Amino acid sequence: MTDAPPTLEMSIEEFSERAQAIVDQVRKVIVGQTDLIRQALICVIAGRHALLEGVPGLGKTMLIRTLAQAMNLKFARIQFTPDLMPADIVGTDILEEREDGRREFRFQAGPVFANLVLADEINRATPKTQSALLEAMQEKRVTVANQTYELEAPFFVLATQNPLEMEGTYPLPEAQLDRFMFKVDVTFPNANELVEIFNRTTGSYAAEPEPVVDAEQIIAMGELALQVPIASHVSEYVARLVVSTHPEYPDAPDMVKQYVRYGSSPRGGQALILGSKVNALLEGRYNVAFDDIRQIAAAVFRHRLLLNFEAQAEGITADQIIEDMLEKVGQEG
Amino acid sequence: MQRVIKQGQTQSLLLDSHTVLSEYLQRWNTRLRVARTLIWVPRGLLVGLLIALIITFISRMRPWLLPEEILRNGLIAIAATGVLSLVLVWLWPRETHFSAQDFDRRFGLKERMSTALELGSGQLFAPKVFVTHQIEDARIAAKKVNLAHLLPLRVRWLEVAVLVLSLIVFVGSLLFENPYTDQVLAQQALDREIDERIEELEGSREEVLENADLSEAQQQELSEPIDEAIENLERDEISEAEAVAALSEAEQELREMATDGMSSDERQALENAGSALQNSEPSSELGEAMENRDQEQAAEEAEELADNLDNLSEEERQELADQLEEAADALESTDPELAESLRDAAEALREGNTQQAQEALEEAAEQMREQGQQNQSQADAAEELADDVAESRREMIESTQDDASGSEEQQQPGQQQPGGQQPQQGEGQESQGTEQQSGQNQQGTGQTQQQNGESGESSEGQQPSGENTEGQQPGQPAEGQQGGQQPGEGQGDSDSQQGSQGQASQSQQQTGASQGQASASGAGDTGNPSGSEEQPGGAGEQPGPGEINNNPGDEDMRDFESVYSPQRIGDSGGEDSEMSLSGEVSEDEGDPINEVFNDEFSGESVVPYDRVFQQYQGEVQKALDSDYIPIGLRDYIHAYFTSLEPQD
Repeated sequence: MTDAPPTLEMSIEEFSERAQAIVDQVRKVIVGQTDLIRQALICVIAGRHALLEGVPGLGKTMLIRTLAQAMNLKFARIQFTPDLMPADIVGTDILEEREDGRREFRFQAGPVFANLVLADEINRATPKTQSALLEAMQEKRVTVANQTYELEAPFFVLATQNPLEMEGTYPLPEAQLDRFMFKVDVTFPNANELVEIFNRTTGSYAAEPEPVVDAEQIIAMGELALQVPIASHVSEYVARLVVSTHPEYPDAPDMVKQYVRYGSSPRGGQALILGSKVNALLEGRYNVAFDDIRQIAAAVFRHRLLLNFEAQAEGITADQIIEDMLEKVGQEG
Repeated sequence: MQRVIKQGQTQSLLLDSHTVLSEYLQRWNTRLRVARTLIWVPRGLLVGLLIALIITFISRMRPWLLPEEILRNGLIAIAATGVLSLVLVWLWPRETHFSAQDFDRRFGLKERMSTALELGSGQLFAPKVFVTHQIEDARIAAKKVNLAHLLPLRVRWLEVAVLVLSLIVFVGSLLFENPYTDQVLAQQALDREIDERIEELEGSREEVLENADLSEAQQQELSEPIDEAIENLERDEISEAEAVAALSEAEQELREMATDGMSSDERQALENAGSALQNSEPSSELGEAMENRDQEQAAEEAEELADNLDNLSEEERQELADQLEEAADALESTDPELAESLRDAAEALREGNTQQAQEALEEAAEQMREQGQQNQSQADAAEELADDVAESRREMIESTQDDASGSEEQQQPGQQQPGGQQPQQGEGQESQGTEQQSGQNQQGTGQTQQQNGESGESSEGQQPSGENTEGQQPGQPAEGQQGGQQPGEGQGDSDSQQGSQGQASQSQQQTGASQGQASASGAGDTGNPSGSEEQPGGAGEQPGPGEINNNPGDEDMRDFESVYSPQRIGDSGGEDSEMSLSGEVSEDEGDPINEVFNDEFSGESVVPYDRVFQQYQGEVQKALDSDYIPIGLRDYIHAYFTSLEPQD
């Protein structure tokens, strides 16, 4: 090597430093939940949406708010309730009287016009309201009264839902679930973490996260992630994983054939590669490895596998099927 | 942080890094092949050793290979599998990308190498700046790989121990005596001998085909028995008896052809024509000559008849014409030209044209003369060919006897024969039992020679009626056998042929008993064909003592020919457990007669039954081990020969 390697617009070291800075800020508030933080961060850097599922009180909302603070993003929280209307999300035209006495409609932007939207307990709203988020999540724009409004970049929806209180809820339709890059299970903290949580929340200490990055830098980090190369045999592995989630695929694992009604869409593969690229950068690598794929596979496929009645009856979870699939599907074609 | 990178610099960096990565891969591949060599070459050698052990095992289960062949084949198998494993390890293709993926996994490089190679080769698209960083990252990771730790050169000692153990077993198995060695040696000797015989037969056939005196049809006719014999000899796993039988059969067919050079159809046609002509007084002598197949004589008689036509009455001419017509009909299928001449003569006689009839008869005489000469040529060629075949057969028998005696001597070095007569008795025992067909086939040779009219001396000692003993002297087979066949003398050709046929069938027999029967009938002796109590049923040929026997003080001591064990087994031994041999036993070397035989056999050399039986037993065992005898009959045969064991 006679010449020094050329530099990137953002070096991998800078990427890692910034990501670590965000994590550090979040850790000021959130105790434990390493995977949750990392996967939420991957979604944010990748510019995709995440669905956080966990029982109340585990810090889901707190995490998202902290992320927004650390990244200095415009944050909006929407508490989904059965009577929430689409206009409450996207906004509406209101009639306004000018000084000259003339009246005209003015668009009153809803909470979706933010960088980071927290859709709290998203499954409590009616499907009509839930679907109001569809266009925003996919197209990153909203249309009200035939008028289309672009959402400000970056735009992320981090939704939460409670898996226990299912009465009076409206499970998200598959089409909407597919728009979430990850579905992250928020686990209950262990005893040590609980002690730390108690200490932090029952005293006078009140941690205040500081903004360490801004929206532009988040976008730059996302663009850098997109450049991470992925070797052809790794891409093929992702493809094999995606098709293996379909029970009709001849080489699908037995568990998939037995318990899965419908497998992942191509969006699952896209999410897997994109998430892996971010994960590779977070680990200080310039390329995607099989390990990256395996690390995020569960979060990617968990909500994309539609289990059949037999699986529900036998208590088989999507995570079990994914674990089996990762074991059965070989890295070598 | 940002820096403008010139296009050329980036390209140079890419090439350098790619080269470095390729070098790393090459180095790792070499290391991997060395590591695999340490694993797979012992395994390859082990496979070769297992093959060698299998070969050894099979060779101990059935006659197959000699120890030196086992060793050679085993070493070849070991070397071949060892080299094969080495070649596979070092020449097994490992594509660069495959190697990169493999080493990514082996060394935990997180797909850095494979990605870098794809980026470097342009298979994967990424911004050049990123490519450069990725390749550099891969190079750094490759540099950190500790080959000694991640790809150690280890020998699997357990496998090496198994290898050594197998080698010890293999060598050990070679050191222990293989019970089938002698059998294999004999079979190989037989195979060689058969090959030689085939070569000789092919040479004889070539001579026949190149013989200008013979017509194409005659060449073809003479070649047929040879071809048949060659075909039989070329069969797989042919036994010695079958080989000799094949040669005997060919010889017999050739001897038949050698009698008059005619085929059986021709012979029959000539006889029929002769019979027809004998019905007429003027042509009776012509008919007799034709019936005797003496074509030269017939030609002369035909000419004489032609000369006498003018002296015949009209009635005699008409009668002669009818007989000539009838003879012509008989010869129509085998000799149409002669038939036409005779028919012309008959027609001319009927028309009263004696001149034309004379011409036709003279023409017929000429044709008969020519035909006779041709037949004589064929007969001579057949005779020569038969002699060649007989010689081949004799050589084969002698050679296999030598091989057998050689192997026997090798097997029993220094073994003392009873009576302290090791040299002669040992030979006698060999020749009795080695190949019982041998003596018989030699006898057959003598018989066929007798058919050819060769006169033999008959001054040999005679056996009493019903006593058939056998004895032949090498070098004088014709004399000895003709002499020995005194009772058969005076019999017609057909008898002799019968004897010859008997010989041929004997050779195909496996047991000495059936050989003895056939021999007796072939020689025309009065020997008991059943081979039962009175005397051995073997062919009796005993040369006179003054001519053939070895007498003390004689300058030219002759070897005794092989002794055929007569078909007499099955009785209780004792007196009957004896057989006569031609010649006398030298006093210097002891007298076995005094040991086990009574005075009735004084003056003859004899071999005790128990010695003969050893050889029988060997032959029976060989036959039982072969595939010739159906499994269902083996117990029966075994029980039969067990019942024949000599009593102490």
